[in-house]
Amino acid sequence: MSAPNDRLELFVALSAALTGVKAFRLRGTGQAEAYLAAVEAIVPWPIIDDLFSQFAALPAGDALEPALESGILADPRLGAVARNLILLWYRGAWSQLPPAWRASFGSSAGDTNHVISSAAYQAGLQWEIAGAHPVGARQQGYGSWALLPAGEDTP
Amino acid sequence: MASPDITSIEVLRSQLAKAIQLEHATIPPYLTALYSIRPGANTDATQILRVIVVEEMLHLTISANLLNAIGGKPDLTVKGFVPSYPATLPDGETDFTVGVGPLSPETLKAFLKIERPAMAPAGKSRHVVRKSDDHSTHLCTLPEDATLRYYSIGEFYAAIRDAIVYLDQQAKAKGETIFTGDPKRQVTSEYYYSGGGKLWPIVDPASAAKAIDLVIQQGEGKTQAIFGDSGEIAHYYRFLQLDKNRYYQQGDSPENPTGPALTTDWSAVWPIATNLKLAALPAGSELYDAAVAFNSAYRQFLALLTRAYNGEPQVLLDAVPRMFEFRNLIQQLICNPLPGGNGNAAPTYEI
Repeated sequence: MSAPNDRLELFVALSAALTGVKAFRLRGTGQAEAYLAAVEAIVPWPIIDDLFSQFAALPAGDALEPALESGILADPRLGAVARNLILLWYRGAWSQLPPAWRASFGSSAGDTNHVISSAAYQAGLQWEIAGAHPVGARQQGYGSWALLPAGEDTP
Repeated sequence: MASPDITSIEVLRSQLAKAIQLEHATIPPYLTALYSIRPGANTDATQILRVIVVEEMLHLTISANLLNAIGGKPDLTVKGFVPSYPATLPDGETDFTVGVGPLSPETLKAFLKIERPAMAPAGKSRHVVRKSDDHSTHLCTLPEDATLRYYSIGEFYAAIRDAIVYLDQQAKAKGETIFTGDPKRQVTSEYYYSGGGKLWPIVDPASAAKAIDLVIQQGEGKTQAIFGDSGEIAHYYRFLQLDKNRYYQQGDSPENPTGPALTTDWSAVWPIATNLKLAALPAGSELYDAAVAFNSAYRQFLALLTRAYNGEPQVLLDAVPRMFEFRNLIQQLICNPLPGGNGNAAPTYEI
């Protein structure tokens, strides 16, 4: 496997740990590459590298979650970025990092509240988790918004 | 005109059941090509494929109306209804296959062949002898003899059209009709989400011929014209736009579209496997489970259509949106890599 793929896989694995959604499902949104590209365009690379290497060093299994909390989420530099990743996957949108973080670790021009793309908006995990259709982006057909989303056939 | 192939109402029903199978058989390849496009890329190709998929659903419904009109019972849940891809279709003296795979110049070529069937040259038989030398599903076969196939999809439909006229004339001579179906089983436009009123009850030879002509013309164009009577562009030319990198507009010649330019980025497509089968996926893996889940959802979709075509037309209103809901399930497969670095997975359509 080539190096860029390793980086993408690490990003997906980190995202799975943070979101609580399996890597398979995350890749299934089709947005993994786009989200990694967005993060790399906004967050300084040394911080991303540290986030990835810190995550790669965490223990697996039951020990992962507490280690994720203490090693990454509680870290003043990495924690805000990690929390933003959760929002990114659930909403398909980037949220501006907190003012205190920007003051301490730098701000980039791309660090604004913005939707990654119309496809990312529809792919946001929030819809599937809530058993709802993406608001305003339902598939065609009169009254189709009243149908249960795929996989929600048996309430 | 006498139709030597289709000599009884029973045979006509079985050929119309094959027409339903044929119209459906285009949907898995088109739908998979549509969702093989990476998010946000190739908006022109996406729009073209979407429109065509919706109209293939219309053709499927028209075929069901035809079968219902003559007292048949459409069943999209019978074993073997969904072909084992690649499926084989006749194209004149040779066959071609249509498979389930990514959007590519090669799949586009097959799609163009589906939509523009050749007619047998004058004086030539409309049948072609073929040996069934493989296990793929052969479409457009003659009644009761799978080693004989029609020259093309166009000839397959022409034989049905002739048979309807011929058999109804025979029935009329005895004071009867072949149009014995319950009109309540006809699916009409109020049950179908699409631009215009394109579904009408089929109750006699004239309304039946009109229906067959629509299916043929929406595919290949009216006497090979680019635009139909309603100003709508035929599927063949919709697809050809992707090859010519330009849209057609009224007044264009087939060789030379002069509308706005369009581009297709063939690399902005997920590298999915072609004609993937469940057997290629490790049992118990997430990929396997996702492929089984999709096949199960698709089976339910076909059951829903069968209800719509058997006296519950209102059910069809749910079916088209449901078809596009498959996107999420299909994406699970096409965005995840196969073991061994052989590209990404794909829906298998093993129903």
